[in-house]
Amino acid sequence: MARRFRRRGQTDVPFHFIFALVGGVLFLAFFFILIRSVLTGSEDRDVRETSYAVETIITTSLTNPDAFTIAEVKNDEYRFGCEVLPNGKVSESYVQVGKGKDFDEKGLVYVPVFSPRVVKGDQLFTSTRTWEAPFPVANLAVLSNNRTRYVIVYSGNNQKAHDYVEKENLAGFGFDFVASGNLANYKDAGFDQYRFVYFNVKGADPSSIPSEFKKTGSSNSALVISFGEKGDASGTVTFYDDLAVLKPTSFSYYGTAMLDAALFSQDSAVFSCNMAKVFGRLQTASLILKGRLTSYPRPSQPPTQCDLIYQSASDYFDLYTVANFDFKKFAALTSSGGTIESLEESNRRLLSLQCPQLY
Amino acid sequence: MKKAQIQFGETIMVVVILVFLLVIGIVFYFNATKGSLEKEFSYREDIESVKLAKSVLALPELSCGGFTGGGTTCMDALKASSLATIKDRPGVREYYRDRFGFATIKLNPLDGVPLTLYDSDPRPVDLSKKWNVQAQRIFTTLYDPLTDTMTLGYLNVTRYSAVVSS
Amino acid sequence: MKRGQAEIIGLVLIVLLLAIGFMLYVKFGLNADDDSSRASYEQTQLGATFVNSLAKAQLHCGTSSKPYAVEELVKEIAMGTTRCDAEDALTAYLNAPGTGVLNKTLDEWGVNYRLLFVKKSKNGESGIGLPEFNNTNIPVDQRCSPRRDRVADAYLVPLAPVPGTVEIRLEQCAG
Repeated sequence: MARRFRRRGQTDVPFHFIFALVGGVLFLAFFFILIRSVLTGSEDRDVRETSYAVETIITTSLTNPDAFTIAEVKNDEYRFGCEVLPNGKVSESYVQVGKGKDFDEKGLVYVPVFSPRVVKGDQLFTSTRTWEAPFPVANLAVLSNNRTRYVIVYSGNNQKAHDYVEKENLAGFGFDFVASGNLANYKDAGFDQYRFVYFNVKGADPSSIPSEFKKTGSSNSALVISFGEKGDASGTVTFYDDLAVLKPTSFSYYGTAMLDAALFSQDSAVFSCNMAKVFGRLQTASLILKGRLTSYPRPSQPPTQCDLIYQSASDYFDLYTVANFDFKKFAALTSSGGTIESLEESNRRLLSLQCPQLY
Repeated sequence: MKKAQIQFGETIMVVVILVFLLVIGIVFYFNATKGSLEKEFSYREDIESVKLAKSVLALPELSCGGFTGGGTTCMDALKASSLATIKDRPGVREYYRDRFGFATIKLNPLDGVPLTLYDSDPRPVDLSKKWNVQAQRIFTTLYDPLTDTMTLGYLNVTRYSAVVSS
Repeated sequence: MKRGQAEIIGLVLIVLLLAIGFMLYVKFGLNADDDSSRASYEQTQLGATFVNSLAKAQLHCGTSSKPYAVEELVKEIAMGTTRCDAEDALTAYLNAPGTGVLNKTLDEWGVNYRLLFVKKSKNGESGIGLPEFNNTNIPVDQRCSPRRDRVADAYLVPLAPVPGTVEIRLEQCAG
């Protein structure tokens, strides 16, 4: 009898030990899985919140035209994407934080933002300009940071270039001013990317950019600005997206806001995709202005000078209401003696006649 | 025999209590996560509501001309009236619906007739959902180009968001 | 044996009570609506847009057919150079029963506010001769005052060429 009891006691102890071990391992395993899922969820949430915060920074900056702001953000890599369909509609526009997969692909679809494709660091610089063509159409956001350098290449006197940067309130973005003859001596100072901007330089030739900036796969790029007859108000911008290849892509521009947009866009695709967001607004803005004319007093008999101007202006606004506006159609409006010039002239005349203006 | 039964019973009770504690812990954790997600959602909705109100004030197609000196909170009364008239045209309606989503924007001049600039209230149409309603009032100066005067008005900006069911 | 059983039952009871208590705390602690931050967003938008718009709004003063912006009148009152009865005109514009700006808006919406015009200079702050405006629908002891927590928005009117500015300040108190 005593022997049987002793054996039972001996089997009890190992049984308890094994049981505790198995239970403990299961218990720990459960908490390990729980903590891992919490950490992963927290990282995803962090990325989602940062992406949303950057969208909010840009969207809010659109409500403060001409204000330069510096926003502190999480130290990371910010990737700006924009895709446009053949019909001119923007299908995707977003900011992706690092390699995070949790971002809103359409977060910036209505927000024209002209920037490098990738911005690294813990600061974002933003500024907003109102684009007028010639009436206010949209607010354009330009974005960069302290790790991107804009090199203004000028010929002759650099005063015009300096004046332009001051006038547009862009000095905070970080510009170097280099004479075209001295460009060969410009050295890489360790910035993430460089954008060489030929500021109305006759015979501008981006092949003269030093070779250290032209390595294949670098994000450096160049823009050649050619002013039209009316100075910086309109002209042509030619993009050289890849300095190793130097293939030009040209667009007509109208208004310094559009010129700034070209200056800050890393390449022609960023510029044209974000301008597609803006072209979509031309039709609505012109419809509003045309409808506004109907609130003006009826024409007198015989019609006054102002009445005649209002009549022709209504026809000009109709020219903006074509479907699927793009650069080609817009270029037709900006031609010498074209619609935009006519509307500007009409508005000036109305001001001098002390009549209510068109826009 | 009875001693062993009691010991066995004790072991079982320990397991039951442990499992019970684990279940309590899981329930607390998921409740906490749900609570913080709801808070984040509500915070985002507040921000979206503020963003919408600010973006309406900053619409370039409604802004006063720079010559008026009206500043950033100035709206052209005739442009607003024109938008109120054309807001239901097919192209215009789609354009603003894509930008503003479910919202209603009304302009109330203090010395004039209220205007509805945009109206996409989902509640009469989508009866299957419950809707959060967030309303903001923001003041604006209204410029009348015919009399060249500035008067005061305010916008009622109402945003609708579907309630996330728990 | 009975003592052991009693101990186990006691332990279970304690665990149950702790669990229920904790559950109740988490339920009420997490579900409490954080209305205070949202309320401050709405107040700030209202206040900032009010002072900015009010400053640019125009009203008639005296017999002149040309209207004056509120900020112009405020500057003239502060500098003592009014061409018309500016204090009365501005007070009536803001506060006339039924037609005043404040009556038609902030008073009607139940906003607990304090609108004041304050001259700021090297010597500190002083009034400019305009009264302080409050929501007259709110009992006097509950109206917005410096003793209460409040959100303030201001528009600055420079008095150039004279040094100093006038602040058009709207303070909003909760509740």
